[in-house]
Order: sequence, then C-alpha cells, then structure tokens
Amino acid sequence: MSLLSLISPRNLRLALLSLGALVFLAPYIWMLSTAAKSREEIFSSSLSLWPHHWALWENLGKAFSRVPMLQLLFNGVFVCALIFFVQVVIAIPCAYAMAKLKFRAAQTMMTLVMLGLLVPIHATALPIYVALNKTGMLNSYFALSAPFFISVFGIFLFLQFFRAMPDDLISAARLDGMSEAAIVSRVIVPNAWPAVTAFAIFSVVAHWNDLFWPLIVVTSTERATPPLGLLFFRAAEAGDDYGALMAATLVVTLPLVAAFLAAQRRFIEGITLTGLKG
Amino acid sequence: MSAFSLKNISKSYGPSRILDDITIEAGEGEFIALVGPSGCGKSTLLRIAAGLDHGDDGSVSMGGRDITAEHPADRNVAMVFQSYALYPHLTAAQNIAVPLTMRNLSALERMPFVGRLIPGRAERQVAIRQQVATTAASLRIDHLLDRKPGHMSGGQRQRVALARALVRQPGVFLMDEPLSNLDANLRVHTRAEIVELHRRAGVPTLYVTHDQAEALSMADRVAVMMGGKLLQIDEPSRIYDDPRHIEVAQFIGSPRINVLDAVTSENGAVVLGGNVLVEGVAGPVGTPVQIAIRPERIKLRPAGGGGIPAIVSRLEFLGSEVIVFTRIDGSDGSFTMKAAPQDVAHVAAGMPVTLEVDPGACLVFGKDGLRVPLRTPIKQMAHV
Ligand SMILES: Nc1ncnc2c1ncn2[C@@H]1O[C@H](COP(=O)(O)OP(=O)(O)OP(=O)(O)O)[C@@H](O)[C@H]1O
Ligand SMILES: [Mg+2]
Repeated sequence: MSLLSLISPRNLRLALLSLGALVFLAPYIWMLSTAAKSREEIFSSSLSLWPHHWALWENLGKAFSRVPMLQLLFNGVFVCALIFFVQVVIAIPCAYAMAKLKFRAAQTMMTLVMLGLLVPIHATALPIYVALNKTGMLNSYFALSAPFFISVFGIFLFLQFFRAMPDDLISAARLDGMSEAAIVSRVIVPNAWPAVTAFAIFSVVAHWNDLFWPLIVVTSTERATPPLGLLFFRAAEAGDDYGALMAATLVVTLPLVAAFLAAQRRFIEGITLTGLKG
Repeated sequence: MSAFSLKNISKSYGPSRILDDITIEAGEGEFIALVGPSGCGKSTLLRIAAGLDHGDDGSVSMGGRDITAEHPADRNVAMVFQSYALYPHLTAAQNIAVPLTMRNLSALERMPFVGRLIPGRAERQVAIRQQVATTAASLRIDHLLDRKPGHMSGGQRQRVALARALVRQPGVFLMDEPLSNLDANLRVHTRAEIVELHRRAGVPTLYVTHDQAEALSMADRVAVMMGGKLLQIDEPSRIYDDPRHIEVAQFIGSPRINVLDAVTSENGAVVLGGNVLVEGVAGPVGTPVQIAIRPERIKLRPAGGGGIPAIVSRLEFLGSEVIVFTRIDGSDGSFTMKAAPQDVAHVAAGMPVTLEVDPGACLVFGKDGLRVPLRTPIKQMAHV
C-alpha cells in the first residue's frame, strides 16, 4: 500500500529525469573515479567505481609535472576572454544598429547574418588556415581567436534581445542628449546583462572545449588550449597512464564546472532566455 | 512670432497618409491639447516635433528658429512618454539627473574614473544634485529618489518621468498621453498638477490625449485630429459650442452629441415631428443635412405638450445627473439627453414624453461634414 502510493505522476517524472541525468553524468563520474585510481587498479579485471587504493594526488601530481598544466589553463582563459570580449564589442553595436536604427542596408545585413549562421567554421577553416600560414601567424593567440571575433550567433542573439527593448527608451535617451554611442554604452549595455550572460555561456563553453580549431593552427605546447594540451599529453607522455590523463581532464573541466556551480541561477536564466538548449 | 510651431507637416508611410498638412502654432507659455481617436497620428506628430521622426513636408520652429533639420538632442525639447521610458537600471535620482549630466558635463567629465580628476566637475555635480532635489521636492517624490523604476508604482513612475522632463528648462514640453496608465482618481488629481506645473514653468506645451474631457479641462486651446487631419484648433468652449466639423462635434462631449439626418424644406427649415428645429439653412430645398444637438440642450416635458413626441427607452443614473435615452415617435431617430435627477424622478422606461430643444441649440452640418452657416438666427422653436 505504502509502496503503491509512491507511484504518483510526479515521482515517475522525477525517476525518469534522474535516470536521464545518470546516463549523462556516467562518463564524467567514471572519469572522476579513474582519476583517483592507481594504474594497476585501472587495468585490473574487477570493475569498481570506488577506488580501493586512493591515488588522486599522485595522478594530479603526474599531470601537473608532465604537462605545463598552468600554461594550458592560462592559454584557455586568455583565448576565451579575448574571443568573448571582442565578440561582445563587435556584436552589441552591430545588433543595436540592426534592431533600432533605420538604414538602407539593414535588410541586406539581416540576410548576411542569416547566411553566416548557416556556414560552419569547418567550411572556412582551410582558407583561414592558408591566410594565417602565409602571414606567419600560426601558433599565436591571434590565430586561435581571430576567426571567432565576429560572432553572427552573438549578433543574432543580441538582435532578438534588443528588438524587445522599448523604442521609447531609446527616444528618451536621444532627447536627453545622448549620442548613439552613449545610448549603446549607457542604456543598452546596462540593460542587456541577461543576454550578455547567455552569450557568455555559449561562447566560453564552446571555445574552452574547442579542439578542432586549435588542432589546426597550433602545434606547440606554449600556445595549446587545454583540450589540445590533453591530446598532446595522451599522444606523447601518458601512453597508457589513464589515471594521470583523467586527472588532467579533471583539472581542465573543473573551471567550467566551478563556474556553473557558482552561477547556476544565472546560467539557467540565460539559457531559458535564448530558448535554446545545447 | 510663436514660441513653438509646426507648419504644414505631412507624412506618409507607403500609400497611407498619416499626417496631412498640419499646422499648429503655440504661443509663449501656451498649453495645447492634441486630441483624437487612436491611430489618428498624434504620436507621430509629437515625434516629428521632437525630431525623433521626420515629416515628408513642413517645418518645425522654436522661438523663430527653424529646427526642422536639428538632431533631437540639440532641440532642447522635453518629452514625457506614455510608457514613461525611465532607464530601468538607474535610480529615480539618476534618471532625473540624466538630461543635466548629458548637457552640463563634457564627455570626459562623464567618464567613470578619469572624470573625477577634471577641475570644476565636483561643483557642477553638486549643482546637478541640487536641481534634482528641487525638482523632486516640487513633485513630492523626494522619498523615491533612491529607488529603481521596477520598485515603483505606475503613478510614482509617472512623476519621475515628469521630473526628468521638468528638471531642465526646455523650449517646449511634449507629453504623449502621460496619464493614460493611471487610475481614474489619480488621473484627475495629476491633471490639475500638470496644469499647475505648466503654469509655473511657462513653457509652451503640446499635450496628447485621446480623452476629450482631459483636453477640454487642461488646455488653453484644443486641437482635434481625425485620420491625419487637423479638423479644428480653438479654445475649449469654442470647440464644444461651435464645432466646425461634424466629427469634432461627435468626438467632443459626453454623452455623445445627438445627430439626425434630415433634408431642408421651404425656407431652409428642418422639421422634425411637426417642429421646426432650425431655419435659414443655406442651399436649395431638399438639401441633405445633419443636425447635431448637445444632450443637455434638450428638455424633457410631459407627453402631449408642444414639442417632439418620443418614448423613453432607458435611463442611466450617474449621481449628479441622469442620462435619458429616448426614441422619437414615428421615426427611427433617437435622442440622448442629460437631466438633473429631481427633474426625471417620475420618468421610467417606456413612458411617452415630449422633447423640447433649446432655441439655437441645433448645429447644422452639410453632407461633407462641414458646418453650414444659417441665414437667420433662431429665436424660438415654433410649432407648425
Ligand atoms: N513605422 C510605421 N510604419 C507604418 N505605419 C505607421 C508607423 N508608425 C505609425 N504608423 C501608423 O500611423 C498611424 C498613426 O500612428 P500614431 O502612433 O501617431 O497614432 P496615435 O494617434 O498616437 O494613436 P494612439 O492614440 O493609439 O497612440 C497609425 O495608423 C499607425 O498604424
Ligand atoms: Mg500614440
């Protein structure tokens, strides 16, 4: 009787969602577990989630000593910050102009933005690579970030957000004596935080985790981003030392996880704002 | 020379003409109410006056200076929007200070950290704060100064928006239905306050509203707009008593003015129910006209007297007055009238009555809607 009463639609939903969450989390949990196991245990025939012999510090030590982990993290942070900053500086005025100003090329620009959304980086990778190579700029922060400076997705997202801002607000700002630049910096940006946060999530997550582009333009460890660094590590040093590799992965994923936990509320607000999930 | 004027303003969006040759001239310290139904182009005209929009034709001038081509920021106009348009991220005090900050401080002085180093900025900022405090005090919103718009009621936001417009000395005030989001009580109260503020500031004002009572009660002159045309601009009493166009007569006044279709007979007379309502209408016999009579110019008399026989169809009690709806006997016309409660205490729906129209109460309009002049003024309603 009491067991039956537990089967309510609500509990069923919860159970289903928990199961889904478990499926998605399983690889990450396994990574955590492996990062804490010693080499012998990883290759032993018995599978267990909880390590018998605790080797997390050892593995972390190996990861930090064999890979320039701090350098990788710094590269990741620097490249992501640079990309995000330039994207916002370009996308916000652009989206403002398209959303609120009347000019003849507006329609054409809208079409171009739509087209831009359809073209993936993979299609333009080769010409950009050739150009960077010709100008001798491979293996640089610039090569890592420049192709992403103009984000059509960002323009599109801000455009949608700005369209919803009342025209009267901008009219009032003009009457109060603001120039268009002042309107952007004093009225639009301070009221666009939800959109900026949402965009930050997409931009930073995408470029922190990106492997495709760094793999193309970077060959040295000095400029490698974290995922690329891990790849080098696996190829060259770790060999079959999966404990150390997973410990390194843990370190690389930690900043995003920590950021998520710290700003969980804002993250979710941001994602629901765009109506997109990914 | 008028303090602020709009001359021959026209504007079209595609094929539809939104504003058609509109001219309004406001004198020094004059309060002009722009009234008209929704969609007649009031906001568009105001936006053109502010420089936020541009007409296809016509000019805007302030104090004799042509400002048609000037940027809104250079015109020195203050506008209150229907939605208030307060900056959501700033407190009331900061909102009110924006127009002063943008005008009195240079771009460098407005910068976050660098600005502080510039000599003279501190004094100017103190002056701005002083002005904000004075304006806030005059609108009694001192206690709201640290609050953001999101934490204020509609009425409080409206006051902050007014304060932001009042804080500087503009060449003209433009207000676009600033009271339409307030409840009825607050609206009547704020009406009086705006008139008082306007009187103290002495700045010409264009005040948009779709509420004819608001327009009549506040303005020095009322401009009635319909479908992009300015039908009449006159003092409130002239607009009410002497409308130039049937649509003006119908739009102004509550309850609505009574309108009857009729044709003229011998001597330019219009006869209804055996009564000559009006005589001396210009034009040949059989000219179709429209007769308009204000509800308070019709008197209810016991049935059988000399007048227009009618039947009471409905009564509306409004406290200080009663609105009586009647059907005219032997015609599909109907009359609405306003009466004092004690005068109609005995009247009930279904009762036959006689209507007596005040002499000179009939306004005659031609088929084109324009007022038709009378050749002879009427003295007494005559029974034939
Ligand atoms: N950008 C535009 N493009 C096309 N038509 C427009 C545009 N802006 C306004 N209109 C049209 O112009 C007309 C007048 O609009 P306006 O906003 O001036 O009316 P209004 O008198 O202020 O009405 P309300 O009392 O509802 O505010 C409307 O019919 C509207 O559809
Ligand atoms: Mg309007």
